[in-house]
Amino acid sequence: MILKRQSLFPLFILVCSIIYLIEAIKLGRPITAEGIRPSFVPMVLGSLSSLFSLLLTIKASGLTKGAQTDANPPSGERATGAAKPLVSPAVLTIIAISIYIALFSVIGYALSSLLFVFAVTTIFSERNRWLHKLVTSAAIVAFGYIVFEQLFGVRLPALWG
Amino acid sequence: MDFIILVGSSFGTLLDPTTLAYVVGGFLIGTVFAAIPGLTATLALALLLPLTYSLDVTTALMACASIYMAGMCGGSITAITVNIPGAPSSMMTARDGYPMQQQGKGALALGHAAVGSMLGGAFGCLILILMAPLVADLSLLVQTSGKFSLLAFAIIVIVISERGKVLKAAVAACIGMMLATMGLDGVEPLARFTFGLGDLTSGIDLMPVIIGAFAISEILLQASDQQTASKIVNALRAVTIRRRDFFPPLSQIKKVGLGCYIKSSLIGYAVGVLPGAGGSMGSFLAYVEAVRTSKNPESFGKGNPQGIAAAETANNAVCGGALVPTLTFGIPGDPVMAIMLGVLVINGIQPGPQLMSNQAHLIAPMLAALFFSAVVLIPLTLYLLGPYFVKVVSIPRDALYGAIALLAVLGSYVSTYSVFQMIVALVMGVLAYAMRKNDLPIITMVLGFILGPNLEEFFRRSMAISNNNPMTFFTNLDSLFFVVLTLVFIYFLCIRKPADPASPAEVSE
Repeated sequence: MILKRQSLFPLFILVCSIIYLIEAIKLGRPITAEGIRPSFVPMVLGSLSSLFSLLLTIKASGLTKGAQTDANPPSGERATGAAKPLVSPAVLTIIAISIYIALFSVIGYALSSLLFVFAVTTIFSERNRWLHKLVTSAAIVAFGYIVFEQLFGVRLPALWG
Repeated sequence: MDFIILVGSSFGTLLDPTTLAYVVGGFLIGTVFAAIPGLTATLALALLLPLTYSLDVTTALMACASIYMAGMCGGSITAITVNIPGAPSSMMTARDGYPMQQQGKGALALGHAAVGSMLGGAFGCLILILMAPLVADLSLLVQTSGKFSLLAFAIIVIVISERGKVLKAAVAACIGMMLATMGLDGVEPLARFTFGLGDLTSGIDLMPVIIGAFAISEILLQASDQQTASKIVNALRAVTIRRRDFFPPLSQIKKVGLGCYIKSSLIGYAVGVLPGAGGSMGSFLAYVEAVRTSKNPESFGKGNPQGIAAAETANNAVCGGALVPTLTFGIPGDPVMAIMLGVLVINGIQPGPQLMSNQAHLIAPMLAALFFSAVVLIPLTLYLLGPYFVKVVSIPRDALYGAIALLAVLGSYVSTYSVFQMIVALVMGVLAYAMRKNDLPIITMVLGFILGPNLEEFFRRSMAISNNNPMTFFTNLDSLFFVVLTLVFIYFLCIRKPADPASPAEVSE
């Protein structure tokens, strides 16, 4: 059976649920003479989740025939006629956030945030007006600094000290 | 009576300029976020949640209440002008609002939406204030096994109310509850599902879950759907709104009728009390009731002001009802309530039956702010700033989402000054994004995460008290009540087919 795209996420949840269930079983007996143990509820949840996600996977795989007539494709996948970018903007955003988190405590709030906001503004707009984007990013970073550090007293990491 | 007096005296809190600034500021932020399609009051609250750490809890709750009220009415502006609801709760408003706009009666439609929001918000809040002491007394009757059955009822209703995707909702609820079991067990000193990560020993905080689920996933969705947003902005540029548009003539309000406002308020309030129902369901049911009792039902969907009034009155009345289960049992009725619950929890306040009696001084100002937002801020803000909300939608998206992304990721850091929480927020954001792309309801996941720990705790405590006899859930009257209630809801939502098969989603199309 060739898995359809719609069944990939339910399948992923199914795999996670089975791993969770195995870990729950490793926690020990669900019921002893002392009563309900910490593994009981996770075992129930793991079993239910495995069952539901299995049903969902089967249901999603069964959509194969109806897929061509599906009038409501998932959001963001509507045919627009425009050329698809090489890497999806959502993936680029995830990469930008990941890099931001990695750099945040290393190079400090100001520089890491400037790079991050600049990256996000670039993802959300045309690849032009670079100076405008840089100035906008700097203003947003300054706004964030004023709100968090000055207004609400949150200590943000700095490049030095 | 004492509680009502306390709420009355809490209006004095609003005389403090700082508190008033937070309430008004919260209302403006809520309205702007609700007016911009794609952004919601939930997102506004998720972004502002970390900042409540540094605020006095009373002020934080008052600001949250005003954001909530604003979020319910702000979405009607774009719903009427360009047929795109700024918030899901304004879905039914678009059904009659947009035809009125096309007929050149857009101003009247905006006016009816504003009046409906104001009256619904005020009615819902008044019912809440009057009923709160009674509800608090009744909630004290619910014991341990009853609390488990109530939480189970809440989760089951949240799942089965997702018409047409119950299986997906069940998976989402399981994901939330499984995530909540990570970390130290609540009863015994045993670490569960930490996978060798020390940071997971204390479990996953509510903050990164909320920020990831509501803020980061939204950014990812908007990043992958930029063309729709451009179309909305272009459509709105052609719309002009004047200040007086938000106030219809008295003769028009009389045409709608006081009965419609009162009935829609009661429906909205009752729906708000139910877990998982929310503003969309409230406005839908009030709309259906307005159609059912109308002498001219075929005029609905073609520009009947009663449809707008019913929908907007009900969705704002939901605000009052939704606070009942949140405050008395810690069961949030919708995403905004889930975040408000977070505000309570991160400030060390445990919602429950004792909250209304022992810490009423914290709750009363919030209800005063909710009433103030409905009666004063809705008309005042719409009059002064209404025309500009449409212009706000034209803010460059790159700057808007740049700021939102920074606030979201940074917000997850401030709770514990931990980069690990930022990573958790990102992981939760990606998970929620994948869930939304696959049509799994993220609110069900978040509610599962919030309710899961208490569900497990009350289950184990009930079993321990009853010597592991599961019949305890059927022999205790409080528990039996919720078991029967669960069966009634299953019957009406799953087994018995509704008379009107149109769902809110179908009607909106």
